[in-house]
This record gives sequence, C-alpha cells and structure tokens, in this order.
Amino acid sequence: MQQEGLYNPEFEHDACGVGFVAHIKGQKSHAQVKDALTMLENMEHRGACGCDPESGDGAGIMIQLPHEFLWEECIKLGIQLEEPGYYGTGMVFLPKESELNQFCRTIIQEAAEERKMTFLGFRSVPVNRQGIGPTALGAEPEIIQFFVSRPDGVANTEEFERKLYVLRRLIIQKVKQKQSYPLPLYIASLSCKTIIYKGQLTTYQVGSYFEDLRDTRVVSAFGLVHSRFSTNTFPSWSLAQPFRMIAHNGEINTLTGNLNWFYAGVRSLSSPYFTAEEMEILLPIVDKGQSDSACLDNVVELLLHSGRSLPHVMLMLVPEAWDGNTQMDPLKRAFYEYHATLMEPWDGPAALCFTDGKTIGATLDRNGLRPLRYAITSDDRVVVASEAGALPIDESTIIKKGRQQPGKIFVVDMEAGLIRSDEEVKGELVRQQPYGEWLDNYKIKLEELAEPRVTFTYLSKESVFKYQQSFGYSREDLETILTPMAVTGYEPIGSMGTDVPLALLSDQPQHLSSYFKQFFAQVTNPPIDPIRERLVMSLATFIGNAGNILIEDKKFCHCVTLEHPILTSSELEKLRSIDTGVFQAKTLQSYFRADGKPGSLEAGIERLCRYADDAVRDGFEVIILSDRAIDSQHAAIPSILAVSAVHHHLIKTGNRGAVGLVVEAGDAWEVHHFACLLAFGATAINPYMALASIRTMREEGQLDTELTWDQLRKNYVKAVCNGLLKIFSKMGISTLQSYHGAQIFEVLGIDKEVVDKYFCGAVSRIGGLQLDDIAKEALAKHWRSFENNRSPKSLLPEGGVYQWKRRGEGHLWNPQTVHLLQQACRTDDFQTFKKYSALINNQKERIFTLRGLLDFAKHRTAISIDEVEPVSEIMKRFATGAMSFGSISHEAHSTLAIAMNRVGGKSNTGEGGEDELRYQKLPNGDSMRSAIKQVASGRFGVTSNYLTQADELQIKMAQGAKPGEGGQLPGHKVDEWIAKVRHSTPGVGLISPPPHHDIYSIEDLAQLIFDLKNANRDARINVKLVSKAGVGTIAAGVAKAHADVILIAGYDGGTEPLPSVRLNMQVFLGN
Amino acid sequence: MGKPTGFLEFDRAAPQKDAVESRKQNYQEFVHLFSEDQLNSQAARCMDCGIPFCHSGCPLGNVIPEFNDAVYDGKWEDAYNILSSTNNFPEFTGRICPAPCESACVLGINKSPVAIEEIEKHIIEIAYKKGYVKPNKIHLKTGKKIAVVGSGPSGLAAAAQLNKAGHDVVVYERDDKVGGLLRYGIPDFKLDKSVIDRRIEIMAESGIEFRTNAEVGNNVPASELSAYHAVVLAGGSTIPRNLNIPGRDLKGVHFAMEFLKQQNKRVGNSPINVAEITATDKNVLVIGGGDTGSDCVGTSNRHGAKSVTQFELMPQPPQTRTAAMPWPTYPMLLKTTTSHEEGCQRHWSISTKEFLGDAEGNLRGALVVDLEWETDALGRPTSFKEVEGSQREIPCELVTLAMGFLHPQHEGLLQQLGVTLDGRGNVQATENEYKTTADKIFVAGDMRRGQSLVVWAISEGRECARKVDEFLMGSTELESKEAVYNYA
Amino acid sequence: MQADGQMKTGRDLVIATLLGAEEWGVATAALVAGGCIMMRKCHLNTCPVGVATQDPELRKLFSGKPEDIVNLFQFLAEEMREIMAELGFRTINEMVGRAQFLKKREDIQHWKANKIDFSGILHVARNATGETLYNTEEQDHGMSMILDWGLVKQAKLALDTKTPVFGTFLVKNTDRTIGTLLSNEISKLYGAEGLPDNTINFKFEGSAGQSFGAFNTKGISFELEGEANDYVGKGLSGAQLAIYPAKVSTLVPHDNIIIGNVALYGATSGHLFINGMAGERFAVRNSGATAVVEGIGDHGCEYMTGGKALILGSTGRNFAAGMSGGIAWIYDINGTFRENCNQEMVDLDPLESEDETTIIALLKRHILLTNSERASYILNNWATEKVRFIKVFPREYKNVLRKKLVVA
Repeated sequence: MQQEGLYNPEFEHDACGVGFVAHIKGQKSHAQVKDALTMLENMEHRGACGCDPESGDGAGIMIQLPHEFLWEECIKLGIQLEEPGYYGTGMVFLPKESELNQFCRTIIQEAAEERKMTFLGFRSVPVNRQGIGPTALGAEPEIIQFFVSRPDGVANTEEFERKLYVLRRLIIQKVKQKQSYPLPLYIASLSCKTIIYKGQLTTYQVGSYFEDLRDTRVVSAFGLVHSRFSTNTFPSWSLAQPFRMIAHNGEINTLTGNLNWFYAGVRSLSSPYFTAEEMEILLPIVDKGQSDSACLDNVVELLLHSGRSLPHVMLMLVPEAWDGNTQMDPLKRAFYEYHATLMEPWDGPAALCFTDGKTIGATLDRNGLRPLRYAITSDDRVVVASEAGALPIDESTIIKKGRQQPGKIFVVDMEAGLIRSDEEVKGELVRQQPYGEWLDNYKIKLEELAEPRVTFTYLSKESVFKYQQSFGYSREDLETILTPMAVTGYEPIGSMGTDVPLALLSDQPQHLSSYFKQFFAQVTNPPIDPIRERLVMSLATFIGNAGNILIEDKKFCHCVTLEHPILTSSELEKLRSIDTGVFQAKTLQSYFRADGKPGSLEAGIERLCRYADDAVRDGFEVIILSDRAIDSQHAAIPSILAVSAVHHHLIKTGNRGAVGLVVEAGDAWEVHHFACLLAFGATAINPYMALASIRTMREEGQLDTELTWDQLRKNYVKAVCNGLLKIFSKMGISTLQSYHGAQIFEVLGIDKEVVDKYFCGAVSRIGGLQLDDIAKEALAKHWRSFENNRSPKSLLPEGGVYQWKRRGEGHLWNPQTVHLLQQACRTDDFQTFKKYSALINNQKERIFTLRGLLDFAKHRTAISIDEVEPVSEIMKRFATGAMSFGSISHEAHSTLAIAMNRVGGKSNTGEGGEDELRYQKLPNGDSMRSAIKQVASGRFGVTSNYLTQADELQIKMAQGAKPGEGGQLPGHKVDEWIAKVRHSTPGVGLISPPPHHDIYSIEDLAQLIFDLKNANRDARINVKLVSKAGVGTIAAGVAKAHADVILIAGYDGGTEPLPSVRLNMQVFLGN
Repeated sequence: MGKPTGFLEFDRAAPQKDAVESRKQNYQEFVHLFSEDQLNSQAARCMDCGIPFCHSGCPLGNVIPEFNDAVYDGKWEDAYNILSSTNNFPEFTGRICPAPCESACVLGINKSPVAIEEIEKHIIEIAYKKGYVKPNKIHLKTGKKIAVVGSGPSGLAAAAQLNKAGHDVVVYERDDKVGGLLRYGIPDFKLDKSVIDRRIEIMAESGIEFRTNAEVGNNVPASELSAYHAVVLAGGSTIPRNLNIPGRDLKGVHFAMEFLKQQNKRVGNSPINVAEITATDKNVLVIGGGDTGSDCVGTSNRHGAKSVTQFELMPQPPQTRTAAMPWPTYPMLLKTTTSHEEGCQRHWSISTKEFLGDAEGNLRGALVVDLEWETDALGRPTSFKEVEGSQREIPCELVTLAMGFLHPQHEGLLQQLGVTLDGRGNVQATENEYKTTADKIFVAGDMRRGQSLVVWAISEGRECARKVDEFLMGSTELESKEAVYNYA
Repeated sequence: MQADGQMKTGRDLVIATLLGAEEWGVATAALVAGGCIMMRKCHLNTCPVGVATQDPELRKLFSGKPEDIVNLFQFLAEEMREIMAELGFRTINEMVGRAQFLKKREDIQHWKANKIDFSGILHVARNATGETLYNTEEQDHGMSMILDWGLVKQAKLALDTKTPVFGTFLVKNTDRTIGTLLSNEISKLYGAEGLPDNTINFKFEGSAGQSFGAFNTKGISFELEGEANDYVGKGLSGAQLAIYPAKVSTLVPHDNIIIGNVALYGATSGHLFINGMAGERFAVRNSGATAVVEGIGDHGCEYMTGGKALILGSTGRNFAAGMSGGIAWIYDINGTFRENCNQEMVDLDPLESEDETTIIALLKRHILLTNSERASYILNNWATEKVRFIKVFPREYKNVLRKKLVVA
C-alpha cells in the first residue's frame, strides 16, 4: 500500500485471537487439526471484517508437515518426495498474472539450484472460493506449494531448516532485484517440519477454503491458529498469521527503535552457523513494509537459526521485568542483564505462541496485557487460547487449567513428551553460561569509578545568564519548570490545554524539540501506569559497544551501566576520564559557525559526523557530544539535531552499535527535551545548564526552599526520570532501552528532506524548516548573548507559553477574545461576536493554527442565506466537551447541560457519573440531564442505570489535554455529593488508571462497544480518539469495531485536530 | 506563584493615611507605607491568572503577576528588575496612576482587585532604599546626539531609554525645573517633588543633560535642534479647555493649571512671577469633575477655603459596574479621592451659565442650572436638557476651570519646526512610528495622542525611543511592551 | 464523525466539516461563554469564577446562564450559515468531507509558515464507488441472535410483576456480555433501584464468553457452572454472580483458573463468588462490589476505591497498587502475601472482630452458592485458620472511617 494523503501504511495496527492445540507426546492426528480450526472459529469475534462481511482481516493455521498426505498427492503430480526431514515444502502466494507468475516460479527453481537443492516440483493448493468475500477475492493470489530436497552433507533437520531459511531469503533477494515493493511473491512458510495455511479469510473460512485441511490424511501433533483484527482496510493476504515461528496477539510499540538498533548492528553480525556468503544473502534480515509481528518473526528466526533455543530467543526479545525486581533469583537477573547489554526488549502487549515444529509454547509480555488461557487434559493434550472454552473439552478430562502470567513462558516439548514450566525452562537457560560472573568482571559501575582528574569549571552567575540566553531559556522556564522540579522532585502540572501557535507558526525562536510531538497509545495498545505499576518500568542504561547478537561472549557486557540516563556534571567527568585500556570516551564539540551564512549548520553537522566516524575507527567506546564550547564565532547545534544526525549517520555506516552516545547539552531542561534526545539516539544526557541554572537560583536566593544544592539536584534528576517514565508509559513502553532510538514522535514543521536525512524514519507530513531556517532560529537566541549589545538585558525573556504574556507567545484565548466572547454571549450581540471571531479568524498578522492558513475555494456560486439549513437544525450537531462534575462545579456543569438541551445539542457528563436528580425535569421544563454519558478508564458511577439514561455513550480512549495519562481526584475534592455520584467514599482520593483495563487492543474495544450496546441499544456508541499521526487508521479500526460515532479530539489544542480526520474517510464512513 | 489560596484568605487593604485634619495643614504626602506583613498578604492575593488581564490592562504592559509573586517571596531585586523592564518611573505611576490594571484584575470580577498600584510603589521605594536603582552608565556609546523637548513623563522616559541605547541625550525644559506636569501639575501631597528630584539625579548621573529655562521656539531657536541626529518632541497637551460664558474675564476665574502650578512653585520655593491666586477664606468653585478638579479641591482646602464646591456637567456615575462598562474595561465609576475626603460639595448634571461679578470686576458668584440627561439602552448619557426652574445663583469668589486640555501649544516650537498637525491639533505621526512629517523629528506623549494619563506618557516615550534608536542604528534592542523578535 | 479541539468560530466549524466532521464539540468556548476566564488553575480548586472548583464559597461566584451558552451556539451556527451561503452549500451534509473547497491562503508571508505543505491535509481520497461522505448506514452490532433475548423472554414475569423466575441455559465462549441487555430492561423499568434481590435466578452451564454479568443490576442472581473469560462482573450494578467448576471436573479449584482477567472492573455494587482462581487485575477499580475468590493474579484490587474482596488463596505481585478505599482480606496460606503487596497506600493489619463477622458471613454464603471446599475447611477450622488472614486496609480510607467514628 502506498502513502496517500496523510495515510501511511506504517500506521497500521492489528490485534487478534491466538492459540494452539498440541499433543504433549507428539502424537499426530487429523483431530488435532480439526480442533485447532474449531478453536479458531470460536474466536471469530476477536477478528474483524472490513466493508464486506465475507472478507476477513486474515486467519490461518500452522501444522506439522503432513508427510503421508503430501507424498500421495505429489505422486499424483509425478513428484517423488523424499523421506520426512529430507525435503522442504514451501507454501507460496504467487501473482495470478501469468508473466509475473512464471517469473516467480523460475526464480524459485533457480534459487533452489543455486543453493544446491534439487527442485522437486510445484503443487497447486486446491481451494474452494465459495463464500469468500469480493474484497478478499480481488486480492487473492495463486497459492502453490513447492518442494526441494535436502542437499548432501546436511547433517540434520536443524541444519536443513537453516539452509531452507537461506533459500527463502535468496528467493526474496532475487525477486527484489527485478521487482519493487510490494513484492509479487510471498513465502508463507518453507520448512521441512511445518507448513502454514493462511489468507485474508474469516476464521470460518480457513477450513473451507483450503481443501487440504479437510483431508483426514492431513495429520499433525499440533495446530497453531491466529485470527486477525486489523485497523487496515486494504486487502492483504500476506499479513495474515501465523508467521513462520510465531503467532502474535498484540503490538510491538517500539518497532522503529528495535529495527533501527537491529540495522545498526547488522554489520557486526556473524555466526558460526552461517557462512559469510550465506550471511550476505540473509541481509537485511528484516524487510521493509511488514507488520510488527512479521518483523519480530524475522528476528526470532535469525536468532533461532544462529544456535539459541526458541525459549532462549523469546526471553531475549521479550524479557520479563527484571530491573528493580528484588525478589528475582540473582542468576535469572544476571541472565536478563547480560542480554540487556546486547539487545533492548521488543516491548508492547504481546501474547506470543511460538513453535519450531518440535516444541511449541507461549509467552506473555512483562505487563500481561493479553489474555492467554490454557488447559491440560488427562489424554496428553494441551489447549492454549486467547479465551477459555474456545475449544470445548470434556471437563472431566481436564487436569489443569491456568492462564499465562506476565513475563512467563510455557513450553511443550513434543519430542521429550513433556511440558516444561517457566521455572524449568528459565532454570536451565540461566545456567547455560556464567552470566553473573561475566557481568561482575566486565560491567563498569560509574559510582565505583574514581573521582575525575579534571572537573569542569564552575560557571559564574554571569556565564549562566549568558548561556541561558543563548540556549533559549525564559523566565517561565526557570520559574514554572525548573523550580518546581528542583524543589519538589516532580514535574509541574497545569490546566486547560494550550492555545499557542504550533512551533512552525510561532514568531518566537523555538526550541527544536518543539517541532516534535510525542505519540501516545490509544486503542491498539494501552498506556501503562508508571506510578502504580512501577515494577515493570526500567530506566537502566548501558553505555558502550553492544556487540554481535548472534553469539554469546563475555566481552559484550563490557560497558558502563547506569540506573537512569541523566548524568550529573561530575558523573559526566568520570565518564569522560574512564580509561580501562579498552574503554575510552571521546568528546566532540557540537557547534557550527555562527556566521548566518547558508550551509553553515550543515557543514557543522557533517564535520561532527566525520569526527564521530573517526572516533569509532579509533576505537572509542563512548562519544560525548558537547555544546559547552560556544563563543561569538560558534553557536551550538541544537542537541536533538546533533544527536540524531550522528546516531543515524552511525546507523548508516553500521557502527552505531559500537559506541555509546552521550550528550552534554545546554538546551535540555524540560522532560520533553530529554525524551526527544533519548528517542533520537542519545544514550545518556548531562543537562549541565539546567543544573547550573538551579544552582544559581539557589545561590541568588531565588528558590524559596531550605534544600541543599545536592538535594535540589537529586530532585531535579528524579523529576526528569519520573517524567520520562510517564512519557514512555503513555506509549505503552516500559523500558528506556526500548524507548531509546524509538523515534516515537510526529515531526510537525520540519522539511521532509531534513527529516529523512537527520531524523530518518520519523513521520513528517506538512513539511517546514530547512537546515538554514533551523540555524536562523538557533542564532536568534545565540546572538542574544554573544552580540555586542548596546542595551544589555538583565532579564531573560518572559516566555508566555503557559500563561498569556504581552511580550510572550501568542494565545488565541487572550484578554480581547475572552472579553468579547463573554460580552457577546451575555448581551446576545451577534455584532460583538463577529468582532471576537474576526480576532480569532484573521491570522494575517500573527498565525496560530494551520486552519488559519487556509482559505475557502469557491467552486460554486453564492446562494442566499435563506436557502441554507436553519440554525435550529445545525445546533443539533453540537456537543459540549466532556468535563466531569468534579473537575467543574455542579453550577457550571448543569448550566451547560440545560443550554445544550434547549438547543437540541448534547452535553457530556464527562467521567464521573451523573446525579440521578438531574434526570428529573426542572419546573420550567429545562433538563439538566446530559445526553452523552461518558465511559472513561476510571468507570466512576458507570452503572446499568447510568448507561440506560444516555442518548449516546462515549468511550473516552484518550483525553486531548493529556492523552495516555490517568487522573487523580485528591481526597479533599471528593465531597459528599461527588462521592455519591461516583459511588465512592467522601474524603478518599480517586485514581483513574491510564488505560481502560478492558481495552488493551482493538478487539477489546470491540468487546466494550458490544457491552455498551447491550447495556443500552438505543444509544449511539461514540469512541473518542485523540488526533495524532495515524489516527485515521485507528479510526478505521474503530469503525470496524462497530462504533456508531467517532470523535476525533484535538491533541493539546495546539496540534490541529482536523487534518487527520480526512483520512480514510470513505472507508469508515461508508461502512 | 505565590499563594494559590491567598485571595480567599486576605481582603484588600489600603495603607494607613494621615487624618484629614492633620494632612490639610501641609502639602506633604500623607499615605503611609505598608508593613512587611501587610504587603506580603496583599501580594498573596494575586492569583497568577492564566490570562492576566491586569497585564493587558496596563498601558505599559507591566508584568504584574510576576512582580507580585516576587514580592510575595520577598525577592526584591527580582521584583524591581521585572517592574523596571516595562516602566522607567514606577515611583510616579505608583502614586498617581488611576490603575487601569486594577480595573482589569480578575479578582475584581467579584471581589476587590489586588492592590497593584500600592505594590508597585512599594517595590520601587524598597528598591531605592536598598540601592538597586543605579545610574545606567553605558560604555558602548553610539556617538549620536538626541534632543528631547519637554521633560514631562514621556520626555523623561524617552530620554532614559535613548540613553540606555548608548546615545547622548539633551533634555530641554522651558520651566525652571524638570518634570513638566509631574512637577507643576500634580500637587505635592500626591507626588512629593523629592521623588522627581531623586529620579532626575539618577538620570543626570547616567549622562543625560538637562537644560532648564530653555524653551525651544522661544528663548532657544528651533534651528538649534538641527544639530542633533534626532529630536523627540514631548511637550505635552498644554492648551486648556475654556468655558466661554459671560463673566469669564472676571477676576477670580482661572484655569486650574494656573492655580496648581503656583502652589507647586510655592512649595518648591521657586519664584512665582505672576499675580498670586489663593483660595484662603473664599468660596471656591471647581468646574470639572476629573483628577485635576480634585487636585484643585485638595489645594483649596489646604489654602483654607471657606467652602469648596465641585461641578460636573455629566450625571453622577454609578458606584458599581453596569452593562455598559463590563469587566475588564476601565469603568467610569463614582470616584471619591482623598481630596474629596478632605471636604467638598459635589454636584453632577449641572451647568454653569454665567459668572457674576461685583462692580470691581471681582467674581462673586455663578449662575447655574440643573440638567436632565437622556440615556441609551445601556444607561449611557446621550443628551441633556435644562431642568426648568432650577436656575439659581451660588456664591463663589474663586473659580478654577479643570475641564481638560485641547492640544499642544502651536505657537513657537511646532510652527517653527513646521510639523503637520492632525485634526485635533496634535502633532501628526503614524500610529506606530512616532515620526512626524519633519525630518529626524519624532513625537511622543500627549503632544501626539492628546491629553492622557502619565502611564500612557511613559509608554509613548519608551516606544518612541525604540523607533528613534531603530531610525538611527538600523535596529534596536530596547524593550518593547509588545513581542519583537530579531532574526538575522 | 465528530471533531473537537479548540474550535472557536463558525469558520473553524466549516473547515472541520469540509475535512470530514459531521458533528462538532465545543468545550472551552462554551466554558468561556459561561464565565471561565482561563485561570489555568483548575487543578488547584481555586477557580475564582466558580467554574472549575468544588469549594462551596467559590461555586457561589459562578455567574453563567444557560442563555449565554445558547447564544454562543446560535452565533456559531449563524456564522456557519453565512459561510455556507457564500460557498453555495445548502446543508451540512453536502459539505462533509469536501476538502476541495479548501486551499492554502495565497498571502502567507511568514518565513516559517510559508513552507507548509498542505497537500496531505487537503488530499481528497479517491471515491470511485461514489460513497456518501457522511454517515448514512447503521452499524450491525451483531445482537440479533444473542442469548440475552432468551433471558429477557424467560424473565418476562419478573420484569412485569417482580415475580421471581428461574431458568437454565447452556453457554459457550461466543455467548458474550450475558445479562447486560436484561439489566438494561430492568433499569428502563425500575431505574437505579432495580428489582428485589433474587428475582431473576438463572443458571448457566459451560464456558461463558467475555463480560459475563457486565453491568448486571439489582434483582439478578446468576450461577455459572463451568468457567468464564475476561471481564466477569464488569461494572456490576447490584447483581449477584456465582461461578464454580463443572460438577464433573476433578480440578482443585484454588489451583486452577476459572475466570479471566479484569473482573469487577468499575463495579459499584453487587456480589461475586468464585470457586476457583481469577486472572490479573481482579477487582480493578471496584468501588462497591463484594467478592470472594480463591486465588488471583497480579495487580489485584488495583485502584480499588470501595467494596470488599475476600481472597482465599494466593495473589500475584503488586496487590493493592493505587488502592485508596475498600477492604481486602487475604488468606495468606504460604506467607508470601506481604512481599506481593504494594504497600504505598495500604496498611496490612490483623483482623478485628467485625472483620471476622463479615468474613464468616461471606464464607457461609460462598459455600452455599459455590460449594467451596476451601471455604468449608476454613470455616470448620476458624480458630486456627483465622490467624492466616491479613487485612488490607487503605490508609486514607482508614482515616476517613476513623474520623466518621469520632464524629458519630
């Protein structure tokens, strides 16, 4: 699928039902296959269909190769198969178009010959198209099997599987040489052990479509099934699961970063199991344009074939929460910590079923965010599925019923004929190598290092002021950001969203991070509660060479480990002066010539990248990018640009894995700045200017506190760390390692070429600044302090982002607009209202919103206003925002409700229930009942009666002002009245969880919609989403989950709510 | 911010004032300073609003929530720096500003607004006491010479700012002392002249040259100005509105400024070279209900007038806001000044038809008539008619006319410079440019915008200085009250 | 399709419509019309105009009137009409999604803004089949065949006359959200009060699908022999649910899972008895229901604000995280509970006599409804077993209860 409008295929998400049926002793039977298909059918409601109900989102089954069946069928075609294990079977989707089809067939044969495998023949897979929907049929490929024999000298099936893996990659490589994406050929499986039947089918169709599956000769010891619910609205057969190793229900939130790190390390990949020639064929291992699950499958496959066992691979990629778990066995901790130095977790909700044909198992993410239930029977069968009861079993034969637990693994060894528990599997793996010893010997702990030989000079009050000016600090930053962080250890909170211009529209010189908007989880994955569920979160940081992931070597853990990525200035100096003989740091000056000439910034970045290359070549393990050395000739490269440029440059040269990238940044003070730096590649950050600013404020007596400098510094670092956790958790990411380099931002206002070069992979859809423009903004700040000033300032600029300030950032809500609007409404004066709207709409002088840059295109002749539908009709389409009784007063809340009922529009209860008193009409005929009842993550006051009293039920997936965050109503705000409405105790605080605990993915949302529709079938079900890149794709999924109304809420008010609405309009509005 | 709940805990308070009887005995300021506790709780009332309407309501753009917060925390130097970044002379505005900021204060919607003006005054008084107010000695001189004509608040503000930008500034004042209306218009009991002297001293130390008794266009030829790289005209709006009724020529009918200026000179021991006007033992009639009128009331009482009566043509304003004057606009409310407290009869909707004299041509009374006003839907007065049978005579021996000013003096300076005037007789300048039609000549303050507040005059002086600096140097780093950005 | 977010004028709404919105939300502007002056102090409870505060004194200062807000919406609609007339649109519907009626302004001078590329935003998606761009079809919610229609039919007498009714039904995992539609019928007739307890007595056999007993209201008493999936008793509003293993099953209930994750999420009242183990997040955000269960997974009683949970077996990690109210009693047979409990907001206390009374009553009811062996054992050996119980008592809740006692 191509990018179109604002649509980008990378925005697609999916989630699903998953499960398997297996015989513990490996007994093959057709019943096993049949049972698996029955299970699949009973998870139909976990899948979805698109516009046409007969086309599913995809479903499939993986079974063992049914040798007898294939042998007999092939004989009919004149193909003589070898003995089991001596031939490989490929399951392939080919284009129907004959020329391309022939091209693909030829390539398959050529490739097999090239890999010294005898090509045995093709078999067309018989299919029955009855009942398959037109959308699926429109994209249906020709499905064929091909067979190759095992070359001589291949010792065992494992080695043969490896060779088949190489063959599969070679076929893809050859196709790629001639064809561009999307490739015409897809190989669902190629193995001597397993085979996958899947397609864009509903769960019921898998068995009916593939005639093979109904043949009783098709026997297997297991059947692994998957049913897919995708936000995708475009037909795709290849996205169906299972994949070759795994079937996945969930979402990898950190995919971009995982892939970046993976690609960063491919140069250093080498394995005794593959020749250099083979390795070359395998690259790049993970192809573009695949789903997150498919990418994960590719990596699982590589690691498995490189000699690790399947459980080992799964624990390495999806580890349980180990950092901070004091109850954990030290051996297990060491195992996880060692692997953490090699690879970051692939994080996100995940129920994973995996198999290599001989063992089959399942594991769950560290948060346990997907359900997985199992039952073991007395006749040696294991049934694992997203739901209990998906396969009816005689209850009397069940000897164990359980659920998969967070971070736990469960393996059925069908060769040994036994089930291995989490303790057994892990107990064995953690003793494979002396991981603990390796760590003790090679890990460098910063706190254990000697004091640095040189300490950085203390900055005077004057220099601090100068630096503050040139890095763009405002009084507001010091007062409302740094001060509370240092004094309380927490980030400050504010209210009412923002109404300032986008960075791109602002006249104030911006911090470059302001062009980056954080993503957040909604619907397709849940945010995490970083406070209440702290135990799964981790900020552990490793600085140094990451090594080769394909082999286990003690040297790979020779790195500096940190509890969190924020370095104080003395810690940075320690790091700067480390010299273990093989571990040393190099400091690079991150500046550019402050001459204002075109190309200066670019030259500065190029120079920096060149020096970084040299440093890697010279064997340094750590690169420190420092912007301390600025002067009147040299301005700092904005740190996020410097880091990201070097990070991506090193990824391109394949060297990123070899070094840690530490930033000594003057322009990092808000949590958002740190998050940007980490997400774009920084390993650790020293915010020397923020720290010096706090110190100076304290010395100048500007902090109203008794705290010592040491305490203030600790508080500040703590506030940054907590803030980081909050940001990760908003995206559903638990660990810094996974967030590191994950680029989970939308870029708003930077030119696409700049983004592609220096922030490659980030989403940028409206264009914007070029490098010279970025330089211009940086210099506007730089020259504040470095030019020869005639009228030197004694104060920093005011800021005015969080509060309206005359000399500060512009706000659409300002003294004039607020006054005029109130005056107009109070005196019922349309002319005054027009003055108000003129101030908002006329953005010629000062621009606030993207919509302010739009004009109407008149394609029709004007008509008389009398012909336009009347005010009374239009007003029915209005709703007020969701504000809870609790956040706003009863008076304000009921006034809004009365007004909306008068005009025929809808007011919204907000989260927190509604007093039943409001269901009675007032004597004058007014009603205080809110037509829309909200169902939010706290579910306060959500009862059968409350739901029954609604005209519309709104599921608040996220809140525009603070998407992905929970809320807290402190005890003192919970008075008798509020407690009654919320069904709680007066005086006891109420916490709303960040996620809906019954919505961890799209199919869960479908379930809640179904629940609510049952609770009140006359009410429309409205799903409130917050605008972000890709919201249209999510909305399409939500429409498929049967929402009646979708609300796209503006994100932060600052980002336009509207653009994304465009997306996929037909698709879901037509549905 | 200071104290989130401060406005719920503390009420607005005013500092203590001397009792009426004692303060009437002299011409000294009689408003005391707050104690530290009082000041702290007054500052704590500031709510640090998301939209600080006060900050918008202040013509200077004073960053009020920020300095309130600093005061609450006792960060005096910060408070001073914040305040002086928008206002050169808080000691003037802190005393005599009608405080449009307080009218716009959000707390004023349903409670008494924050005592912003008092806080402002305290910040600057404390700053003087602690020595934060220092001469602005600039080392980077531009070599440009600028003349400022007029030493009222706008001229002084322009001079201070231009000096700060590195220019050499000369201020011309036609009177014997610097200060303009501040010195000779406002009575000492409202603004003690030592407050002006203190400031002028600092400015002189900063390098600004003051030339007094130097009336350009009269005893200094206007051509002398051509020696400067730029000129700022800040002569104020000095031609008073007259009441042309029969008897205007009687002895005892004076413009308010004649009366007030004399008294200020008397207090300041400056020679008064004209016939003295006193209110002692007289029935005084003040015509005009504004601040100048009020100053006449206070001065007359101090002279020992037999009675003091104040007339206003317009109807009595309401005590609280009406629909016509919604928050946060500056409301025309009934205002009782400290001078009114000292004794005065006030009449509204009253018109003076004729001044009556005795045989010697001395004023003995005024013929007055009550008016009845028509109002519009929102209660705003539109037209009036005389109330039949209400015509009567009241005795008075002194009348001061305090009915405002029309425009600057045209003779002399303006004529000689040949600048174009606007329809109202003020010097014409483009709205934001402060530039007159004559080469190198700029204009600021009442001379440009017509009679207005001191706070506006300071604002004009500051903004004009930016334009002059920009005109001379191509760019300026002087603060503006609006957002300005410098990109290369 | 609805859109909201900082929409302030008729022009904003027209643009939203041209980009695809059929309805609009207006939040801040409506608040401002009602008197909000954007203090941005909503979180401090000090709103000086009585909008975002619960302080009784400050609330008195609220001066907004419905008329003000009605005026706002009239103005917005009127302004839209003016623009619509100018653009030649008679109805909103014909305007929806017609982005071709928007273009980038031609006079943008701003050095940054003039670089914006609007082509993505103003892209008009292909619509070869000529689908309408606004909502014209209804969703099929797949409710025509659900089990609840049968339940409603069987409960007719109860609904009409409050006469107790009984019934038995077979269920499988595709039977989801059982009793919810029935509860809707009860609420429609009887409001929050519902029916008298035990009016509708239904038994189910088999594996129930997700959301068994969700939002089930007063008067309902369900029994499930078999097992259930996630979200049992979600939003429970007064009903009683009892779940126990199939009679033929040989499993030991407290070692085997019988219901899935996230049971009793947001429940406000009612009872849940589980003879077996539950998954993760048992009784998450429960604010009033009472539950008995024989073992649970991680994050038990998370964010609970009220109600009671009696857990007769092991718990997973992070029990009681964010638990501000209600009480839980844990039968800590292995002595591992303390380690698994997140004690940031709760105290772990010994039983008091009134706890004992409550627990004994619950055990008896649990035995009666689910035939629990473990409950019987505990009850039979109460003197020795009661010491194994730990009471989880949120500190804030404890303080409030204490204060109430003092006041009483």
